[in-house]
Formats: sequence, structure tokens, C-alpha cells
Amino acid sequence: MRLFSCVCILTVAGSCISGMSSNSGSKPDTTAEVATLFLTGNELGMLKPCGCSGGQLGGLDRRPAILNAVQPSKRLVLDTGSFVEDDSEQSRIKLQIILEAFDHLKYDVVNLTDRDVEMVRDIGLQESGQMSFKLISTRRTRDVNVPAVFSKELGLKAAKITVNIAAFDPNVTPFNQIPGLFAVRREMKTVNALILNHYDGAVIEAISQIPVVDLVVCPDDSDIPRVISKPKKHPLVISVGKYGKYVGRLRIKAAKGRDKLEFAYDSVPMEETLPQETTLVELYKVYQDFVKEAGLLEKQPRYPLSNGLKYTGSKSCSICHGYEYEKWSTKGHAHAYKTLVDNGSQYDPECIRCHVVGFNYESGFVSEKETGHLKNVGCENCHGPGSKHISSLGAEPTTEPVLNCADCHTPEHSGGFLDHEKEYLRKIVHWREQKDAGNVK
Amino acid sequence: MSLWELKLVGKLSVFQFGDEIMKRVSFISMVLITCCGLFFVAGCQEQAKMPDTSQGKLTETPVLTNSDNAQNSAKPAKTTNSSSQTINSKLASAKKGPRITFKNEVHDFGELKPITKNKCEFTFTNTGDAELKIKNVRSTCGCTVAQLSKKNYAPGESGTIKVVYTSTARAASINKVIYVTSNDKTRPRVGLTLKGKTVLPVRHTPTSMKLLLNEKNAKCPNITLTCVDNQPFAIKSFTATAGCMSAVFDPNVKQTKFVIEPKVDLTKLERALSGNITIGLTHPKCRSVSIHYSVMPRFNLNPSSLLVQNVEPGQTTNRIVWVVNNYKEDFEIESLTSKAGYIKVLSKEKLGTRYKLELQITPPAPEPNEKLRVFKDSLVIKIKGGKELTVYCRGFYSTKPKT
Repeated sequence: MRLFSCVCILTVAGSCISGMSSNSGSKPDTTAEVATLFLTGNELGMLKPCGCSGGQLGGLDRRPAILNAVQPSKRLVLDTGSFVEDDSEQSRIKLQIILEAFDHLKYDVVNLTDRDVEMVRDIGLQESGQMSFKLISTRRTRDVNVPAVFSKELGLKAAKITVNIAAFDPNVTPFNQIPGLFAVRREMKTVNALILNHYDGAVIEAISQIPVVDLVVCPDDSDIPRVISKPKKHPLVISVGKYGKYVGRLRIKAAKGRDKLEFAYDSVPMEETLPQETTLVELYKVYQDFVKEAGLLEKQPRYPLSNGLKYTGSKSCSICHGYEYEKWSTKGHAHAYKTLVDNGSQYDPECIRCHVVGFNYESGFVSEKETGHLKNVGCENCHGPGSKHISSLGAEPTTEPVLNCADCHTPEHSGGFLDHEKEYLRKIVHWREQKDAGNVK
Repeated sequence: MSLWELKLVGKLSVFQFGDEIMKRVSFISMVLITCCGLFFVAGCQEQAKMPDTSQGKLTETPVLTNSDNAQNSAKPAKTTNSSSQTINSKLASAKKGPRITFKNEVHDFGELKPITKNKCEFTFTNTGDAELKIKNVRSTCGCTVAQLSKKNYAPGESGTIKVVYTSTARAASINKVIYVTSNDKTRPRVGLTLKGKTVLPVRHTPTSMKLLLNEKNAKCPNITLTCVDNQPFAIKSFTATAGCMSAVFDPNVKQTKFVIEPKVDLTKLERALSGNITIGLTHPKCRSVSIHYSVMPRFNLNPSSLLVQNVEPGQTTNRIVWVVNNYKEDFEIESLTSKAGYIKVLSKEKLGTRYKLELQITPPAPEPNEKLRVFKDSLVIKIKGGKELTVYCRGFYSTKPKT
């Protein structure tokens, strides 16, 4: 009886203790207690990965899977700018698509770098009245006059938080005016962030002397977001990566009974396994349509070929090199153009250059209608323009320009090529070995 | 009862009483020990889950990398995954674990000759207290090959990544990154940078050109070719995009310096406003040089295209477009035509050598089955003399629900 009583008491005591430890936070209630600052930037014209090989990261159409995991009242979505790499006509089209995507993704605020301001002006976009997100910038022009600061209140159970985002340029604003950029609410906790358009160690060191700044976001050479500041050093200095391969995520926790906020920064890779959002998939098709309408292939600047050299097409090689032509016809290179047609990218100069002959050169591919004989990765890609070789009946060898395999099979577009060059080469064998009868050499 | 019996009873009573006490003490001790044990276990769990905030307001966690997420699962990254990453990193930092420390992370090749293989090495040491495993060494370009002899390094052991970079045929700045992925949780991915510059043995000035349509010979400068390795060479060819330039040269003359005077065909140049000049050479290490040129176009549109967003069918938007002659030449607009009919020209005002056009854009009713509602139009501006300019207009309809 006594033993039984002992066991009962011990069991009850143990259960009470375990229950207390469970309730004290073995599974934190993250949805109620955590606000999230999502950071993207440096898209540099990458709307989505080309899809030429697997394992690629990125894509505007995959961002909703991450952003929509947090309700709008508990998140702030920010892009730090640098949407495109240059001011070409194709970049202007990309900018229009990116801004429309941000509107659909319900971004809160978008920073404009100096180049972005010029580009935005060049597409006739007035202030952000037409879009759901706000624009900030350190640069003001007559046509694009936006503020430098944005604030949003995020409501958590434990506390209300004001997140202040300020675009900062030390050439425009003195350091001692930084505290004045941020709204202070006595009844609220604040998170103050500065966006820099350039990485400068001396500027960051000067900012670190200003206690009110919690976070500094600046560009970096790496395409992967990273924490640039040393561990436990204030403020937190981070980069957001490049090409939209990752979404940066700063989680802000207001713990009950604690005066200070806690931050944790990580990044989420935009992997192929993330679901694609239908509207944004359609938006990319709109981009392809705009590119086609703009006739960019015909407008491509071309290098001249010397001494009257011209591209003639792979079929013209088959007269003397029948065996090689037949073998080539069965390989992947002979169908490279179709892979673009299948996904609607055959009018995109960035894609077409590695799927046709001589795109960057005069007498090279212009369009399927005009230069259909130069479709696909043909003989002249690797062996050089054939006009002189043909007109001399083979007496003159082919010459430059020639492409190397790695010119198109880059890690970005052909992730499996590096370290497997021999396997790739075996896939395109279309020649006889030198010692074999019939070898053309 | 005798005294002895009383004493015996008393002793027995004491024994009985003591026995009772001992049992109670044992019981209480067991309860206390059990409680202490349960509190201890609960306390350990609690400590493992809370991030360390003792150092102040901020904590950082290592950035999740592609390889880390691949390890965790193939599913989309969720908050719980990141939380567990926080736990693991905390525990890892307490034990230190493997640490990859490079002697240097940037190598500057300086000036390189074209199409040459250039080698360098990056030495690292495992400065941690657990085995360092290199998962991957990958470059971002096919021109850079990085090799590592083995993948596992004991604490204190060093390794070397051997790199071979093949320089380009053209003059260019080098900025390549090699990524090293390992099981060092504080630096799961390290970027090693290669810097330098490919310099051709034959230098040319200018390096690029900006040409003007209203100047004699398009204000094209002379091109100077200078050989820096004192190897005499001859000029084989001179070609330009669309044949817009030519030059006189003697292919039999070999020397270490040439000055070429290009002759520009302005008519052809106006058709190829951006292009390249390629000069073929007989130098064994420099077969050609290329010089990019661009031409200020005769007309400029500001803005060059129009974007309208969040519009409703039938809701008009007004925009101003300026047509400017960059050479301050007088011109006339012959006609303005909206291809799809959604753009109406409200006014056309001539101000010196530019025109101000006020446009009204009226989005049509979208197609009923369209998934993404978009409309487009283009305004063709015909200039007297034959030149045509196009302003593309692209619009996106509002997706907000109507109230």
C-alpha cells in the first residue's frame, strides 16, 4: 500500500513537472511572437533560371511560397534594388515585369539605386501611386521624387514593433543625421535598418558608432546572402545575394518579459521543389511576348567577320562531311533550337546565343524566317565560319571565331558540365577517330 | 510489567518509532531525488531551445546554404527547419566543431597574357576540434578549374586547393569566385576570389568610341596599335559592323606601332548605331583586337516606353512623351499612329528642336479567358524624311476585387 502510494505520488509529481516544462516553450509559438522582414535584391535581370539544367535556384514565381507563409500584418517585404544590369531595351522590358511582379507579390517597399531611378524614369513610371508598394531612394529627380524612408508597424502579441527602413548615401546625408531618419514611438519597440547601394567598410564602421541602427543591408560579391558583420557585433550587417537565388529572412522576436528584441537572419534558397505561382508563371510568358514584339534579335549589335568570311550553315558541310553530318543530326546539339521553342524563349537574345550559329556575328543567325539554316548548335559553332573553306574546296582550313564548350556550358546554365567534360563530349561524338578509314583529316 | 520489560518495550517502541521515522525519511528522500531529477531534465531541454541573448540585442545565425537545406530535407524550408538550425548551430558552437580557415581568400593574378593557363593555390587549415569534410569545390565559370586531393581533414591538418584559370582571348578584367562548401557550421560556404586583368600584347587606343552623326567623319578618332612585347606585326584586315568604316593599310608592313585613320560611311553608320571594329593582326599572341563603338542616335524618346499598372478597362491615363533631336536639328513629325488604337494623341506641341506629345491611353476590355490581363499598343512616330520611332505601351490590369 505504501509502495503503491509512493509510486502514485512520484508519477503525479513527474507529470506536473513535465507539463510545466512543456508549457514554458519546448515549441515556441512562432506565428504569434515572430515578425519577419523578408529581403530580396540584386535581381540583375534574372526573372527566373533558364531551366536548361536541373538544380538551378531562383525565380520570381517561387517567391510566394516563402512570402505567403507569414501573414501581411506580421511581415515586411523589401527589395533593395538593382533590378537589371544595364539600360538596354531588354532590360527595360525586364524592369516592367519585375515591378509588376512586386506589385502582385505585395511588396511593402522597394529601394531604387541611381541606375534604377534612371530606368524607372525611362519607362514613364511616375511616383508609386499606381503600385501597391512604396518606393524609397537617396536620389531625387524631377520625374522620380520619392522619399528616403519607409515605416511599417507590425503587431505581435508581446509588443507592437515599428520597422523603419531608410535608404542611405553618405554623399547625400551626413552620418550625424542618421538618427533623425528614424521615427521614434515611445510606446513601441523599433527596428531601424539602413540600405546602402555600395559596400564600403569605412562607411559601415562609421555607422556602427550610431547605436540606433540595428541593421545594415548592402550589396556583396557573393550571390548567396550572408552575414557580413562579425558575430555578436552591432549592428547586424547583411547582404541579400544576387539573381534572386535566395530570399533573406530576418525574424524579429519579442519575448514576453524581455525588454529587448531578438533577431535571427537566415536565407531560403529558391529551389525547384518550391511550387510556382500561376499568375507569375503567366507573367513570364507576357515577358516573352514583349521580347518578341520588340524584335530584339534583329537589333543585336554584331561583330564583323574579317576578309568576307560568312556563315553557311551545317547543311552546306554535309556535301563533303556526310558521315559527320548524319551523326551530328542524331545528337542533342542538332535539336537545340527546338528546346527554346518548346518554352517560348526563341526570341530572347540571352537564350538564343547558345542555341544557334553565329548569333553575335554578321551573317550569323538573325531569325528562323531569315536564317533558318543557322538554327541549332551547328558545325560552325565549334569549327568556325565555313565560307572560305567551302569556296577553296577544303584547301583553306576553317578559322576563328570558334566557341569552346565552356562558353555555353557554364555552371549557371549547365550545372552538371564541370568535372564531367568527358562524359558530355561522348554524347556529341560525330567524328571518326584519326586512324579510322574515312577520317576527313 | 517489570522495569526490564518496560525498558524492552521502550526500546522496542524506540525501534518501532525509529523504523517509522526511517521509512518516512526514505520516502521523502526518494520524492525529493525524483523531483530534482525531473527538474534537471526539463531544464536542459529548455536551455537547448532558447537562443542565446545574453550578449545583447542581436543574435546571428549562420546563413542557410543550399547544401544545408539539402541535408535537412527536400521540402520547402519552413520556420521549424530554421529553428532547428538555430539549435544545432548553438550546440555546435559550444563544442566548436570543424573550422575551415584559409591563409588568404583572394588571389590577384595581376596582368595576364591572353589564352594562357594560370595557376594559383589556396591553402586552408582545420582550426576546429572535429573532422572537417569538404563537400564541394565549385567555380562559377568553365574557365576556372579547382581541384582538391582529398575531402576529409583532421583537426590541425592543412589542405590546398589548386586552381587553374584560362585567360580570355580578349582584354578583360577577371573577377571569378570559387565556392568551397564544408561541414563548418560557422562558414558552410566560403567564396575564394580570383582577380586580375587579361592584357593583350597589342594595346589599342581608344578602347571604345562614341561617334556623332553630324560631325565630319562622325568625329571618329585615329586608332593607335602598340605592341608591348616588341614583336613586330602586320595588319591583316580592318572590318566594322555593317561595313560602316574602312581603313587603308599595307599588309606587308611589319612594325611595333601603327596609327590607323578610319573612314566612316555615315549612311551605313546610321543603320548600325552600335557595333564593333575588328582589326586582324599577324602577331602570334594576338590575332585580333576589337573596339566597340556607339553612336548618339539622331532622335531620342523620353520616356522610350510606357508602363501603366493597376488600370481598369476604359479608365484613361495621360502621359507626356518628348521627341528630341539630339543634334539640335529642326525636324517635323509627319504622322502619329496608334497600332492597336488604345493611344490617342491629345496634343502635339513643337518647342524648338523637340516635340511634346500628350497621350491618352485607354485600356480595352480584356479577353474573357485570359489568365493574366495585359494590354499593349505602340505609337509609331513618323519623322519627315523617313525616320520612324516607336513608343511601346504596356499595361497591366488591376487584380484587386471590385467593391
